[in-house]
Amino acid sequence: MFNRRPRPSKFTREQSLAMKPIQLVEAELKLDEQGNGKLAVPVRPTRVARWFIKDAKPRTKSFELDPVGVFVWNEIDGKKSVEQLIRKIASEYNLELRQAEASTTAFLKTLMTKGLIGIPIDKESGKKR
Amino acid sequence: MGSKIIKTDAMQTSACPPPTAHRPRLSWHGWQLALPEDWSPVKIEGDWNKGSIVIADFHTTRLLIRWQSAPKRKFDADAWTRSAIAAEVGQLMLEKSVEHVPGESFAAGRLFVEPEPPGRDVWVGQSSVSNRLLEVVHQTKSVNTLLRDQLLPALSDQKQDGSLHWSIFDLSCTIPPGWKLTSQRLNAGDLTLSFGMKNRALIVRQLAPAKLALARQSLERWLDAQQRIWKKTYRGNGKPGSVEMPSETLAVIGRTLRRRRRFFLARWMASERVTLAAQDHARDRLVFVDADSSELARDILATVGKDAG
Repeated sequence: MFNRRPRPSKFTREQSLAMKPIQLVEAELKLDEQGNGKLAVPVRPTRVARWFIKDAKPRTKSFELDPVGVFVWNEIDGKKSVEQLIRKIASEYNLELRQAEASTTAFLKTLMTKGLIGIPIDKESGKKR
Repeated sequence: MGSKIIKTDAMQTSACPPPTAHRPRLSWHGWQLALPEDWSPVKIEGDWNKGSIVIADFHTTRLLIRWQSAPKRKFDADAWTRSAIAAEVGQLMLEKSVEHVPGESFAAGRLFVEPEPPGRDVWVGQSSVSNRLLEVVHQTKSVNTLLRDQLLPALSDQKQDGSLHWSIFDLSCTIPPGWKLTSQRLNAGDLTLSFGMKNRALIVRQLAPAKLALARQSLERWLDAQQRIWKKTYRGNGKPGSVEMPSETLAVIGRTLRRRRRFFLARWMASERVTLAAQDHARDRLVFVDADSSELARDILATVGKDAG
């Protein structure tokens, strides 16, 4: 019951690399002198909060990104595939492809779990674009 | 050496694709190989006597390298190469393999080229340098001469009792004779090779890119973090001092740790540990060399990032 194996991915490696992530939030990115960024994402108050506080002020949730994170965030435009992002990072920071891939995919997964980016789905075929 | 290179007609007529501008070099447990661009190791197992490396390009597995020590008595290299080819591609295909010795590093070898791809091109051979047996399996989708014309000519072996060149991803160094690899930690942007010889320990670490690492903390703090593993048995000796190296692209600092007095009976432990931390401006890397003597650390640091070619 507790030792469940993780379900295998529905997508092949080629399909995963061909996916084109898009930004799901209209966030403001502020950069400091060292190139680090602060992403301010507007948060909608919950239904309970709205019921208790009628004039709730708009709140923001902030995410701190290092220079590589800022670079990736700026490159996510729904047109570039994951593979293109990885190749761009590898050439920008003079890294081996496999090293760039490991860090980029981990970062993209984090962004997805935080709800900041998503993968568009083709409604007709049901496949991720 | 008694080795001979046998060329078939197909080898003479095949067109060799032009070499790519950047060919990453893999040197692992004595084996040296120039890889095509975008190929990199994805799985590494074993030691000097027996092991394997799986190499993949961006999309799929391309190459498997497997080695083992040859038996010391009653070993027939020709019979072994035949049986190894048969085990890999089957008895029926064995007759299509040809004897092929790619260079002076090898005493015997046999090559099988898949006539109807997709399939596997296989080369097996015995090294005359280290007396080990090597199998190279290349996954191929179309008829090409990559294994025969590019990979095998660049394949070589090193002697175990000499200085060994190591190269994995973009970390490369040359280690003096006697040191054996004890562990490796190959994380993205943080590569560490640890070597041992009896009770001695040697660590080579590389962080990339240096600009990002230094944005997080200074080189002195990175040096502190690197030396923290010795804190229990060694004590610090003040602030790190700058170390002069002949290379202009390296900015080096170092610090020596002394063995704590309460370990005075532990004579097997080195009396001091020297850690050098270098910022390689040319390659945008941070390099750490941790050894039990200053000379050893300096010698190894001078070889980091240099391709043995």
